Amino acid sequence: LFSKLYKNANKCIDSSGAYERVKEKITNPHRNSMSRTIISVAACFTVVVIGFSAYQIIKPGVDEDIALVNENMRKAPDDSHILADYAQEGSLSADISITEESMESYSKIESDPMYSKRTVKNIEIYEKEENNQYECWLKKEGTVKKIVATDISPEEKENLIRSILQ
Amino acid sequence: VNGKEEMIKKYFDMVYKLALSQTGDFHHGEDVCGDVFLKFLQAKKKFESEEHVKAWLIRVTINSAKGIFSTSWHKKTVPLEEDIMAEMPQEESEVYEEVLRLPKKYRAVIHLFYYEDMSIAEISRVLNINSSTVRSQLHRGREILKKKLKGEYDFVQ
Repeated sequence: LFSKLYKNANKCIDSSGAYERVKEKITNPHRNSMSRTIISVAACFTVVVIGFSAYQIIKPGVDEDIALVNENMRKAPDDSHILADYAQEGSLSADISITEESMESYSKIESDPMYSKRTVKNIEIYEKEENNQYECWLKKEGTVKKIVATDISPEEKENLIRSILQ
Repeated sequence: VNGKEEMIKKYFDMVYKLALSQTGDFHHGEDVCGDVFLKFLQAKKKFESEEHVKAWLIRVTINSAKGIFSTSWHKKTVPLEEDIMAEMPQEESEVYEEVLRLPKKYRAVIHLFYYEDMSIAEISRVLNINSSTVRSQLHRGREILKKKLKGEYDFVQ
């Protein structure tokens, strides 16, 4: 009989566990909503902490990159301008590089007895020449410049320094 | 009627089984029960008799089960009927499965008639629909079940 089978089918379903769960839900509705709120707040806090930690980890690298880009942007036009001007004069036969250095490095050069000091256009320059490699340090408008040239003649050397100090 | 907790204990099985027949899923069934009994505890309505409580619970269960499937979340979920029938013997399981496949309006009258042993007049009063409508829904539900179950079972009226 359909009626008997359908009744038996329903009797096979145990409702005692459901009764306890539903009773808990309806007698402590605040506890359930509080739990959900606590979980949400904890999840938000975790996301913020992870985000902040990640930022702290990558920040020094980002700062360094920004500083490097700024540094390059600042010095690239200046150096290329000097080298281009110098090349236009037709006297560039040596392999020359001009780089910007830190004040700390400059201080070391000042006290290094291997470098000779002289004054050109009221600016002190420190020079050293070894194995056909010429090195010159000077301070111009608050920045330290280092010139390195290979196989440079004395005339070219003087022209180069004066061009930079213009 | 006093002692709402006693009423919940007494009618929990009725509400739960009706909710399962409407939702076809344990979790949805429990959600419906929770909703129904919370409304019952919060109801300011004065119930005149235990019969009144029973009728109210059945009506609210059917409405709540309809409501649970109207939310966008539940529209996307598929009830796992197999879970309910896992503990049933094969014959019972086949019968129950076919009842769950019926349209909801037929399921309600079939469940109340065959499991709760309610008369057509009682179902009509509880669901607030005409007796002839109950009779025709019961008839159509039975016809579908007869076809699906290939006439293996006798439907005693």
